[in-house]
Amino acid sequence: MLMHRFWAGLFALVPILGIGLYVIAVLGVGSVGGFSFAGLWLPENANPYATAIDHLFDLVHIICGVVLGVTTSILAYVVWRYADHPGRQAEPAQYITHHTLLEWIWTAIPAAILVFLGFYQLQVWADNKMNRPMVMVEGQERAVEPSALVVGKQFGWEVYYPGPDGVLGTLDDQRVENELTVPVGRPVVLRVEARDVLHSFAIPGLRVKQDVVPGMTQLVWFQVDRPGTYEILCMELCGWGHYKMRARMKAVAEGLEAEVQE
Amino acid sequence: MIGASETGGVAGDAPGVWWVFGCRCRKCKYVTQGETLLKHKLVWWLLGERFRSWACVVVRLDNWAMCGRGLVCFLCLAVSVGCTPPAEFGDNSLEWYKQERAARLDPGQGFPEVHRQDVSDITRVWFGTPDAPQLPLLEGEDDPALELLDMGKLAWAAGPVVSRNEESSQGLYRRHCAHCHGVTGDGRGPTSAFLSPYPRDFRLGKFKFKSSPTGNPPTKEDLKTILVNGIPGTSMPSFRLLQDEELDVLVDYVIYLSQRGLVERFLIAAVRELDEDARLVSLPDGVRLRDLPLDVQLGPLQRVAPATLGGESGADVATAVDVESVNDSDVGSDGDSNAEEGEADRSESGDAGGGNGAQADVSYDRDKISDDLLFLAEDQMLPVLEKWLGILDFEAKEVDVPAWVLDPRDAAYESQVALGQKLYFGAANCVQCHGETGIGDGQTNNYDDWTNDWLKVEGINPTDVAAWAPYVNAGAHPPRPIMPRNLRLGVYRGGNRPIDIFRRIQYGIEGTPMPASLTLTEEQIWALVAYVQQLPYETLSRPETAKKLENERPVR
Repeated sequence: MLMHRFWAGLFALVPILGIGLYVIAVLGVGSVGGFSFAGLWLPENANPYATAIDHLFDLVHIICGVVLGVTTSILAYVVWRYADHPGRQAEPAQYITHHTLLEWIWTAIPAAILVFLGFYQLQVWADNKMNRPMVMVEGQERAVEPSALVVGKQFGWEVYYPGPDGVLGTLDDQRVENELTVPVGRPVVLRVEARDVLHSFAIPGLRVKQDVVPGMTQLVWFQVDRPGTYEILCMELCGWGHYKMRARMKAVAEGLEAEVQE
Repeated sequence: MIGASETGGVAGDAPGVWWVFGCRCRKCKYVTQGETLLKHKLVWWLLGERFRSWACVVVRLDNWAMCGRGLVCFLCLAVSVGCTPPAEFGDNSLEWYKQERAARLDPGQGFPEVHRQDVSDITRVWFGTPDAPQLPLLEGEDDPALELLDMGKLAWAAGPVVSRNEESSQGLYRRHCAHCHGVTGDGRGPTSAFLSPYPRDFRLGKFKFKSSPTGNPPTKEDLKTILVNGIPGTSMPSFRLLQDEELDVLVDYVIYLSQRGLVERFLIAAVRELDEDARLVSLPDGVRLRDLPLDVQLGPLQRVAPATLGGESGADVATAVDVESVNDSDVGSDGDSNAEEGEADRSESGDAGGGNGAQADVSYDRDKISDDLLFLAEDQMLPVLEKWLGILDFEAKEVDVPAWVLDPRDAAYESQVALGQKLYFGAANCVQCHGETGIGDGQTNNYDDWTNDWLKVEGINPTDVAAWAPYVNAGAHPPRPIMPRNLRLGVYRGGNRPIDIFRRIQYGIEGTPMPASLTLTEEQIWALVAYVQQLPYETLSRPETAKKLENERPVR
């Protein structure tokens, strides 16, 4: 007798659980079977250049959340409301070709959202990928020079520091494997290259991520506000050892001197 | 179809044939068609060749029980879990083949199987298994081997990968190293065939990049430096992110594997020297050393148990335990059989750990076995150990790095580089292999010692595939010539500090044609270092810096 409600409820549970999962995940609270949702998110951001990235991230999440909420609610309602039941009057099937108004709506809304996001993020993209940080040198404003060269290879990161002469690519460069040391509290620019295949240099704690292809030189910049150790990952599948292509970044107060001593 | 399958002559025993001809097992009177045939094949494939006669039973049971794939899966799971053998070190089949060829046996002829068993059993009781490493200790807990290697560290590195705490795991070697270097340390892990250069085979006891002179093992510090920095230009990655203690553990385990492999090689070589009908250990026919009670197997050796895993020096010194309790608490596979026999042995003789270990059905001369083992240990094992012990007190000679080596602004720099260049083409004769331009295009038809080790036995031409194919079948990698380093890349395998280059020139690179410089003075070597290290920055290496185009925009 109640079987049809049981099945309808079961299927409606899927969208409802979806919304519930979203809420739990966004709030970052709670755990299921000892699995905490809090640990799923990116580590806390320590890069002032990336606060805008986090803001964009949140914005996209909110928009997606609204869309998810509206669509899945409708789905759950329809599943429940139109469940088959004994004694239902069978209606003849209809052939529906289109619905102009509906199509306008579901095309225009996503398009508007995408166009808005496209314009809204322009400045953030420019700040993180195009406008290198500037410093005052002898009264003149100059772009910050790369303080280290990071070379991705299968499977690890080579870090080259300029030696005593302060210039990268000279005889006295210092090489360190899998460990990058940067100063805290001032803009850092890195040159990133790849030796063999496509890699992606990523520091999740700083929201830095840059793909590198062999033969190209990319620049990334950031500022670390919190001293500590950060994880460097390769975020582009680059071969069988991709999973262990990790390195460590140390943010230290006293600058690069200690590292170059090595 | 059934007919074709039962004659078998057409199909032969080639794998995969049953996909075409249906089930070939003799017991099978089952309908071998349609879904049942497919199921049959699936079960057969899951069970493997050895259990193929069981496939019919499983399929019939499955049909009978009407519970579909569930039962099949359950049974297959049970079989695969229950039948996983405990990890064993593989025999050095390449060395066996090499020694057989060196003994000029007829083609297709090998040493009697009993020798392989003896060597396998001796190395097993001396060095344990990949899950339960042991050391051949003649002096118990006072044995000098324990100064070199820590039993607790070995136990930490050995075994399957199991998480130990939040930061670290048990079985470090198999987690980080074995997929290239192999469980045995033979450089034949699953990924090894795809790498160039091949991963190192530790069993020759040779290590390339070290601070000790040629012919000596590396210091532990040298091995650790390699782990931390990796080997640039090869597939050896940096393990800097491991904890310091984990690195020490892996260094110990690599030394252990190297010792084990070298001792095994020596034992195999000793087999070749044996008289006909003689054996390494005086055992009656049909008796294997590993089937005897553990105290007989050990002979003059003693065992100590690891006090704690990953034990540091001092706090938890390994404590000696008597043979009896080793028998009972023995880790891993050899525990079961030995413990059983040990008990049987005791109950018969009534003398725990007794002096008279003869079992009822087998008689063997206990003292003779012990003497043989002692002789072998002193002859084959101690030289290996002593070599490594010699390195414990070794301290690399302090060398002052001249200030000018990497400093073109220094007044002495130009003249030193010029001197280095002169040596490169002259007295040091680097040019012969590394080429006139330093790109490593000189002599390129050399082979490293790991390849020459078997290549030279019969004087095989490395380009003659048919000649070396049997060695590759026996476990060698296809020979590749060793390339002199391209000095213009700025990639130095042993490290790019001036002192690293200095050591490479001074002591050479063991196992390769790079010789130690016996005639050069330290000053001359430093001049060479200066010359070699500036090569990657010459215009020849970096044409882009040669000429600046007008209006050229700086690199962003």
